[in-house]
Amino acid sequence: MIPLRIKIEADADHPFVIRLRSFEGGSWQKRPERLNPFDVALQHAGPEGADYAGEGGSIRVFGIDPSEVDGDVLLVNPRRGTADRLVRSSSPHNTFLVTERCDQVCVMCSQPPKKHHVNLFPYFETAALLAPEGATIGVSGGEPTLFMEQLFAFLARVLEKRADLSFHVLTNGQHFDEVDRDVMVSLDQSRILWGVPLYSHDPAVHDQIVGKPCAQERLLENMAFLCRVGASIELRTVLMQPNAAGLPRLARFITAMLPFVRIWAVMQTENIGYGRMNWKTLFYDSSAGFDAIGHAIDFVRSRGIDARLYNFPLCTVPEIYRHLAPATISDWKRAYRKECDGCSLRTRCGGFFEWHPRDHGYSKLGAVQ
Amino acid sequence: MRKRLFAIPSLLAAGFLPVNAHAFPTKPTLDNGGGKAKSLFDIFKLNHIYTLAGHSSHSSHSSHSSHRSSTGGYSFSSPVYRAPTVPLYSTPSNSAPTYQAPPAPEPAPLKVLPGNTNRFKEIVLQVQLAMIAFGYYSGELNGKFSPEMRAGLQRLQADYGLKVTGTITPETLNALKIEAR
Amino acid sequence: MNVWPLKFRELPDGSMLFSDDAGRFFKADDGFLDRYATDELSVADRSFLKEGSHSFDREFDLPWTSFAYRWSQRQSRPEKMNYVILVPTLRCNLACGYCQVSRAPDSARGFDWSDETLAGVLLFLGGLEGPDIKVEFQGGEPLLRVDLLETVRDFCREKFSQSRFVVCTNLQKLDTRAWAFLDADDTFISTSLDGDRTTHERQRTHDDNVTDGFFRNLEQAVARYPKGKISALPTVDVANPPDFDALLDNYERYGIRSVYLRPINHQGFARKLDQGDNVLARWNRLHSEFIDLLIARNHRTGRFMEEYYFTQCLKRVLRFDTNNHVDIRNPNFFASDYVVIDYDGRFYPTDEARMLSRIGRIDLGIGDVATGIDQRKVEALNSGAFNHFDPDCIHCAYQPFCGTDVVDDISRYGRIDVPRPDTWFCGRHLSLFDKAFEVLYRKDKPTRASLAAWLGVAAWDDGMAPVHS
Repeated sequence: MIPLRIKIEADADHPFVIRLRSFEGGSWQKRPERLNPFDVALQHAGPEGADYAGEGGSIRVFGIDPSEVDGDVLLVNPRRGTADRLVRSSSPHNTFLVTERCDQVCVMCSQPPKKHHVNLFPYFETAALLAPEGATIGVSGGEPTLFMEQLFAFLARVLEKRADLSFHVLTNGQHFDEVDRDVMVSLDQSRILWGVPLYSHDPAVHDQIVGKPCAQERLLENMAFLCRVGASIELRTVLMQPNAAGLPRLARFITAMLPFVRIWAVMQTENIGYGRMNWKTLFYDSSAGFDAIGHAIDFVRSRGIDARLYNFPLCTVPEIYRHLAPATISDWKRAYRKECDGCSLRTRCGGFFEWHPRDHGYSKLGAVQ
Repeated sequence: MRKRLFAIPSLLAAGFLPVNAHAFPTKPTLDNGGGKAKSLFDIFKLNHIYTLAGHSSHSSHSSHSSHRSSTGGYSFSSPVYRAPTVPLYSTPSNSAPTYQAPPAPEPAPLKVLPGNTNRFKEIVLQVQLAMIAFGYYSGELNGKFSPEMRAGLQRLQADYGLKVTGTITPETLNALKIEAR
Repeated sequence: MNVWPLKFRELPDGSMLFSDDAGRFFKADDGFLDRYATDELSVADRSFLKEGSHSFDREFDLPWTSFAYRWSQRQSRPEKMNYVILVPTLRCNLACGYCQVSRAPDSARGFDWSDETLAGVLLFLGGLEGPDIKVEFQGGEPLLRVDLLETVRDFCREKFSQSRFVVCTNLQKLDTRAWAFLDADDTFISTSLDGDRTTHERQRTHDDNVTDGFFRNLEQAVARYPKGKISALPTVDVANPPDFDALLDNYERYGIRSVYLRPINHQGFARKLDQGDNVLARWNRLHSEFIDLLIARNHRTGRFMEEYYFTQCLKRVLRFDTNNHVDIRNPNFFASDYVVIDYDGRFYPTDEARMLSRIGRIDLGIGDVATGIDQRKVEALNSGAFNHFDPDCIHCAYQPFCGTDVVDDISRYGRIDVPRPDTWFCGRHLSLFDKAFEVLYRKDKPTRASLAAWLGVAAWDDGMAPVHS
């Protein structure tokens, strides 16, 4: 696993954002005359740690080689002696966790909610402005729209100052309202993808999964709102025992009621958080039965709606659907298994979740010749 | 152009009606009046090309589509970001490094590909080779840094009378006769 | 509950098809029709309609929004111009019997772009927004002036970040320079292959050696170029059609899986041929048989070929985003995303329009490269270019999937206000959509296999085509 939090030493009272720069090995030729105020440049590296210095001062980083963090944007907590790698410049998977609060309690949640909230938006804004050119930044939680005003302000300001960036915001869609219309219309919606989950056409099933009564009803109202303000939506459905059989019906529902979604992503579960707690009653072994999924995917695609399979190892997907299964598991939690040795599809497969269980997982997996 | 005779002398004769600027039906709008508001039709037809697919230059076309669930979190109790009034001068010392955050952030996209490019890997490999030759390194030849390699590099720099940084400086490359390019 | 107006049509097999303006459809029986007409829908009816997004409760609710979205998507919106058909020469080294173009002989003078015209064309191209462009070279035989093609292509590659070129050539005579021109990755070939060799010779080449020349070049091109570079069309004489199996074999042999079956267009030279009575009915039957043959063949060989326009019609039915094919879209506005420039620098809205003007039927020119596009005339043409208010179309169950072709109407009838059902375009498309729905609702394995392949899905099965019982 790739570490997202590293040990540091810095003499300061309050958290701050920096971007690490290393100009070693030839790239000193590209070193600018004057460093950005938020940049710190590598001065010294040894087996014990690395020293960086910039306009604001200096910092020492431990446990990770400077060559692995060149260009990374860190949120440093000097009191605790740690820094979070908010933006890893060499990775396409960077997500800002804007809150741990949530108003839903999904049975497979990988990030169980906490009451405690800390406003980190100012730091996220700084960090976003320092991100690599053309980056896509994820915004997640908890439920980001619990802080709608700050979220909109963040998006608006960053999109204005960095016209090259785009956002992928995960939200349960419960909190939009007509009053948000003007703001939403004024945002450049072509640079924001809203990832919204819908688990079933049946409100009872959906509400049960998300642990909130009337959630589906609220969600569908807000989907109409999102359509009318021109939002780009990625509809997400985690595949589980409670909703697997209903997938074809959901597919019909999507073509009838949600034709405006950019893409429908059917996703396999993660064995972490509540997902791990409830694994035995949740995990749907798609390697043993893919019919319902295949039919659902075919249906929406026949109507011109794009569909994908996220987090499915390629060996668990029938050959004809593999082209719809991109490598989506974030690099920092991705792993391959012994059974993957010699697999001809390895380079384009996203592998397994780091924590996918040995037993009670896929019954059919293994190298494809 | 010579005037030609056509079997059907004009569009009118073919049944086209006289032109009226906007024959197309009016579009439903989001609000009543307003006028400047984009019509629903306009919004629906904006038809954003799935721009995000084009964005990540570092990855294959669809790996941006991370499921992005969170399994992380930052541990903070009560940070309040306060812009500093006066930058503090800090004398260099051997104690913990000091840091003073700058004020308002400005956009500063990172354009240069960072350290783990192929070129960088090649250079690290060449340095590793040189270090092995002269006994400063005994690890894998993999083009990747390790604590051992940093330590070895420090010893090499000290022995060669170079500034001891533990990083691949121009002087280090010169001394090892490796071209930076 | 408000139900969007439903249109219905009795299909040839006796079943009833219903559709709404946004293009969703289902099959139901007479009983439903009666209940709908007398406003006595049952609970089951209401539930079905609600689930199928044929109704809504309040303006702006989700079903309303979904309907509005789908309807909007089906409307073809004028785009910026990024597709230009250029006719650098009217001269041709072949004399196909059905030639629509009133081509000029190879050695004639005065039928190529002058220097001024070339300059005007480049000026026009230079004024386009970009960043992409597709240029289709037609004629005559465009390769007779490969120098002009080179000039245009060089210019476009320079000016646009994404350019694509198609050369519509008869592949009769290619010298080194022509091959070199075609070799480029951004350049594609479109040619005519009229079925089997006999038909091809009878209709196009007329001579054994000339036919040999064509097939030799075609083979060389297929060997030389990757799949997808070459496409071909058969032109079919309804009075003397080719053997379809042989046609498909031939196409497959040359690596072409997509066949766009076209009837001889009765303009130009072709008008002189006598095709007999009831051409439309015969063509419709022929096409229908071709589809059935194709389905059987696909199943037999396991290698899937398609009839291009039929696949387009299937997509027009099922999807709401198939609205930019210039032959079938609604509205079908002219001079928006594409335009034709003739050998004399005149603009035309379509290739057929160019031919109509050429043969003296009607002047559909819309300006020239020296003076620009005549917007007033374009607007006049556009005033007839949609079917939304046509008194017959508004009752037609196929209206959301269909379109208009005012140029074809003028060509055949001299007017655009002939009652729809009396026009070739309507008769042709009624038949096409009847066939499309017949195929969509079939249950046999071969049909479903072909449907899946044509629509790009893994499988087509029960429930894919809605039925209300």
